[in-house]
Formats: sequence, C-alpha cells, structure tokens
Amino acid sequence: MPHEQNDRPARTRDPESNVSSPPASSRTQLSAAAPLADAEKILRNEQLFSETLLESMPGIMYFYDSEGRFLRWNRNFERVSGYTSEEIASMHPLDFFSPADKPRLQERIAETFSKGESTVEAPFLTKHGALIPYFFTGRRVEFDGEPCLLGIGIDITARVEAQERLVQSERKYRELVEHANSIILRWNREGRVTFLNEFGLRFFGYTEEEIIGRHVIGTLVPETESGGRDLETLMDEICAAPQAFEQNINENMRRNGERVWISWTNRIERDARGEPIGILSIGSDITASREAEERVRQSEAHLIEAQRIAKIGSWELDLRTNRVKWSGQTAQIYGLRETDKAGTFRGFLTFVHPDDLEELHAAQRAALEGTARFDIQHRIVLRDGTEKVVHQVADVKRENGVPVALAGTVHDITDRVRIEAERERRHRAEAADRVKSAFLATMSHELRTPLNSIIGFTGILLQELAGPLNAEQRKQLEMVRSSSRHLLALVNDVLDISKIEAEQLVIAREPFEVRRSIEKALSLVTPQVHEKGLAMRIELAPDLGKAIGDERRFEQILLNLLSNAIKFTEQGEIGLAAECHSCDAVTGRRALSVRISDTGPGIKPSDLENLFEPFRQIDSGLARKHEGTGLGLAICRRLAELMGGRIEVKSEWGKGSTFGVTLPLEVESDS
Amino acid sequence: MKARILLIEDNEQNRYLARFLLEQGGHEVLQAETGPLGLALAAQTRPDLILLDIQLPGMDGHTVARTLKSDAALRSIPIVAVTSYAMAGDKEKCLDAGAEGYIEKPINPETFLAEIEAFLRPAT
Repeated sequence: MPHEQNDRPARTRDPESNVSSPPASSRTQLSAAAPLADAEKILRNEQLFSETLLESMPGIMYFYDSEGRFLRWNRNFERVSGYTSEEIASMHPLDFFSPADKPRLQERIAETFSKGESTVEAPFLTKHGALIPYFFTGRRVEFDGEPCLLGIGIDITARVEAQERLVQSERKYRELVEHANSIILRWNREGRVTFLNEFGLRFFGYTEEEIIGRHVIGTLVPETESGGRDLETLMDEICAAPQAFEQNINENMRRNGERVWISWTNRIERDARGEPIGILSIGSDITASREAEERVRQSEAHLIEAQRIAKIGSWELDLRTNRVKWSGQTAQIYGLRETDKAGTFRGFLTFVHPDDLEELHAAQRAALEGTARFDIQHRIVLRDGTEKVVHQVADVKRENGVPVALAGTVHDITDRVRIEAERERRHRAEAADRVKSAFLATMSHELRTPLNSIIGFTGILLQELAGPLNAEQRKQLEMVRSSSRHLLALVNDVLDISKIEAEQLVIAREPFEVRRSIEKALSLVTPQVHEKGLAMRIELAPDLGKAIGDERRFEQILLNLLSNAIKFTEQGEIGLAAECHSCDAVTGRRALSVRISDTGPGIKPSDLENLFEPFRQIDSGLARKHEGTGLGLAICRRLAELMGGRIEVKSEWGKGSTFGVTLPLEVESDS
Repeated sequence: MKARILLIEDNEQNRYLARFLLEQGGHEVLQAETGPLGLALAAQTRPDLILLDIQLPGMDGHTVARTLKSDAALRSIPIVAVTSYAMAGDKEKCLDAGAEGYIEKPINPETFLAEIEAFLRPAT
C-alpha cells in the first residue's frame, strides 16, 4: 500500500500522551458506528487506551508493511534504538541488525509474511552501534488489505547474560574437571564407569570410548588387590556405609596392568528419592609416596632384622636427662620386653656385672673426655640371672663441643666368647697333647739308649765275647741283666700306660689269626712253666678263626696274663682255654673268649675291685717275691677295651684265679 | 762273608756296642755320628749295609734314609733302622722312608748279629 511519507501519521509528541497517533485509517474505522460527538469521545478514549497499552509494553513494538516501511512504532523503539521518529520513518527493518544477522532476519521476516508468524533471537543494533539481545515475535496482520508485520521485541539481555554465565561456569567447571590433576571418576550402582576425566583417562591409559560403560573391576580395579582384598563387594559396602568410604586408599590398576595406589575421596550421588545412583570418586596417585613410605618401612624392617640377625642392638644415652633409649634388639639382649624402649641410665647400669662396672665408667669418662673411643667388652647379668658378654661401641655426640649424647651399639658376643674359649681350650689341649707326645717319644729314646748299652754289654760279657768269666762274675752280671730287663719292662709299661692315658696309642683293628697268636704267646712262656715244674693245660676250640684287633697287643695281653699266672703259681697247673661264642653275653655278637687260669693263691675279694687300676699290685704277702711294675693288668684292660673287648677276673682266695679276655670276632669268619 | 757296614749312631756307647758285635762277625764297621756325616761316608765308601739310628740330632734317620734312597748310586744299599720303639707307626715310618729292616732298641746282643746279617745281600 503506497503511502507518501508525509501522509503517514508521523508520531507526534503529545503532552498528555507518550503514544504516537494511531494511523488515520484506524481511527476512521473505530469511529464508524457511533454518533459523532459520542463517537469522537469514544474514539478519543479508545485511542488513549490503545496508545497507553502500546507505550506501557516493556518491549519495543513496530509495524511495517511488506516493503519494510515502518507504519507505526512505540516510543520504546525510539528510546532503545536511539533513532528519532523521523529517522525511523525512513529506515528499513533490517537496518536495525548487524550485517551478519541480516540474512537470518530476512528469512524470518519472509516466514512471517508467508506463514503468519515467526520468532527470532537476534541482537538489536542501535544508532550508537550497541547490540542488545532481543527476542522478536512477528505476526502477519492485514491492514488496509495489505499484509503488514506487527513485531514485538523483548530485551533478553538478562537471560542471555545468565545463559552466558551458565555456559562460562559450565566451561570453567568442565575445564576444572577435565584438567584437574586429580582423577575424577563417576560410576553407577552397577559399578560401571559413567565418567572419567581427561586426567583420569591419561592416568589409567584409556580413551573415553574404551572405558565408559565398563565395569571398574577388571579395568581400574584389579580383581583382587595385592593385599588380597576381594573388591567385588566394595560397591555394596560403600553404599551400606558411605562414611567409612569417604576416604580410602586402594590399589588400582592401569590399562597395562601396572598397579598403582590411589587415595580416593568418595561421595555417593543419590536420586530425588535419596536412593544411591552412583559414586563420585576423586583420586590422587600416591604410589610414589606410598613406595617411599614402603621403602622407609622396609629399611626400618631391614635394620631391625639386621640387628636381630647380628645380635646387635643400638642405644642412645641423653647426657642432659640421663635417659637411655634403645632398640628392640637391645631389649632382646638385655632380656627386656621389646616394648620397653627407654629408661634411666641408672637402671641400664644395673645390668652390668658388678666386677665390670668400674671399667664401664672409666670407658665412658674417657669417651666424654675425648681421650679414647667407647669400645668395651663386659658382662651383663639379666633379671633371670643369665650372664652374657656384650661388646659396646659408642660415639659421643656433641653440640658446640659439649657432649650431649652417647650413641652406641651393643653386640651380644656370648656365643662368640664361649666358642673362642672353647677353641682356646681345645688348642691348649692339643698343644698339651703334642707336648705329651713329644715328651713320651723323648723319654722313650732317652731311657732306652742307656738301657741298650747296659743290656747289650751285659749280654756281650755273659756270652764271654769279651773274655771268660768266673762264677761270681757271671752271677753278678746275671743280676745286672735281670735288673736291666726289669727296668726295661718298667720303661715299656710306663710308656704304654702313658701313651694310653695320652690317647697316643694307636691300636689296629684288623682281623688276625687267633690260633697263631695264642701259640706264639705259649711258646714264649713254656720254658718258664717247665722251669717251675708246673703243668700246662691247653684247650683250643677248632674253629677259632680270626679276631678283630691289634695282633701284637693281643699277644701282649696273653703274655702278661700267662706271665702273671706262672709268677704267682708255685705248684699245680696253668690253663689256657679258647673258644668262640656266637653271641657274646655283653655285645650280642660273635666273640672270642680266652681264659687263663692258675692254681695260685687267688685274689681276695677286697682286692678284686681295684685289680685293674694302675700301680695296684696286690698285697698278697707273696708280692715282694713277684716283681712287677703294677701296670700290667691296667695296660691289659685298656688294650682289650681299645680293641672293643674286655677283661674279667674270677678268683677264689686260696684256690687260684681265672682271667678271661673277650675280643670281637670277624663276622664272616666261620672256620 | 765279610761286609762293610756303615753305622750311623749319635750315642758313643751304643756305637761301640754295635761295632763290637758286628766285628765279632768279622765285618768292617765305619762309623758316623750324624746324618750328614753318614751320607758323606756312604757316598765315599759305598758300604754293603747301613745301620741307621732314627733318633739322630739334627737331620733325623728318616731324612737320611730318604736321601740315601733318592741317590741312584746309593739306592741299592740295604738300610736297617734302629729305633727305640716309642710310638705307634714308628716301624711303618721307617719302612716308608726306605729302610729295608727295622730293629728295636734295646738290641738283643745274642741275636743282633744274625738279625743284621740277614739283610746282607748274598755275596756276588
């Protein structure tokens, strides 16, 4: 509908009204049905009402035709846009928008015309270049048969700003969550991950796609942590007792399986009815600090272990308070409870062996004066009376040159001292044995060398190799020979018993022919038996076989016993009986038994007891007649025992004696 | 059979005793007081037999015996060791050192000569 700009009802300021005059045509229409005067009044009122209505609207209102020519607008429009009514009357609706928004606005305007209505949110461009967020609604209105657009714009600055603030705040929050140096995890009741922040994704090594919807167990939480705790029920536990899980430390797992320790803060998220729907967990990696703690703990454990193994404890005496602190191992050494960790120095000193106390004080003085290191070995007496030996080493701690503490170690060296003493004793004993052995060898040599001459030259003279002898000379020389032989026998016996006592005598334990040994011994004594006119009864079992022992020593025993029998028997007979027992009464094994009997005076029961002790020649009244060393039977018994056998005696006073020798027989021997 | 016998013995009386008895058998007796002297004399005179006391001062009889047996020129000379029977194993030690024979002191003057002559090699 073409209008001349002048014809248009330009909005005129009215002192009574702020409202622009309505279009003339509208006025005409409104007044058509009323009588003129009334109609004018009515019209005036109506105009006032509609103008008031228009002007009281909070937003801007405008009305333009399909060409974009503004037909009507309210005062707000002028105020907000900053343009005068003249200016507005010559402007196009799109002039109120920035170029970037114009196409969009154009579209909405067209839509309003084609569809009847439309809305759009767009910044309203003022004369001063300000852009004010506005929400516009447009409606197509037929006016004078022409389609026009009635638009209303509402300032939405507050809403847009609020929205912007919300977006900002949300972004900030998101950034915080995303980039926080903490793991932020949200998981639902089923234990499935519903959210994991960027840091958490990086930390655990997952992408969002990989982790969202997965169960925490088997992904972030190992099936069982190395502590062995079963985590399947963790969720239920958390829901049941949320306070207990507000803070917890868990062993978690990275994607690569690496175990990590995380300190979590957990908060249960509930729905409107208060039902738990999930858990928000914020975690920090404490693996390193935990490892450091573990290292400290381990190193402490190692120290304790080392002290325990080494039996070395530690202590520290505070010289200002005279109190002592000590380690568990020190308590152990002193027989105290491990929980007793401190006490007075006076109390500590009560453990010191009284005889060592002075030395300890002296060592302490010297250490404090700086003249010597505190390094002392002393005895302690425990409460239960146990005595121990400890080695203490300590250093003085000084502050500004003033001693403030004595810090040291205590080493339980009881065992070492005991072992050393034992070793020392053994060394001394071995040295003594060596000396004894050397002494015996020397004595043997020194005694025999002159005897060799005496016996040798006596023999030469008696053989008359050096010239003829008269009867008296012969008699005397025979006495020399007899005496020297006796002396030799004594020397031999004394050396033998000494060697046995010194455990220097080596006894063979080899099989030897028993019969041959017996016959050899008999052949040696037979002349003496005949000389004394005694009878000889010999009973040798046919199956004597081989005995185990030292052939030469066995013969020595037989000779000794036979000689004794001959020596003490003036008349009657000497008997020798040998047989084998398949089961010895004492050892239960095959044994050889040799019995040597005589018809001599016998032995008094009181003498039987000590018969085999050295130098216990029995006082038989006959003894003086029977020269001997008093060592023979002692040697025989020792020798028999060294060969695993024994000697026994049976005697009836006045009726003779029987000596029995038992020796083990070779097991396989049966002939 | 007359033999040349070297007697190594530190005790003068025992040397005299042994020499006396050996000379009764008509043997030539050379005497040495110590091991080293005995070794020198043995090398010098090549005796038919050496009578060797074991308990010698300084170089002992075992060493003398081993030294003699390690000398190719003297190895074949029989050695009879004379010892005061003292400790177990004495005889074994003498035989280990190379002695052919072993006589215990004190010697038996009645059998001594025969015991020694048993070790003389048959005359060549």
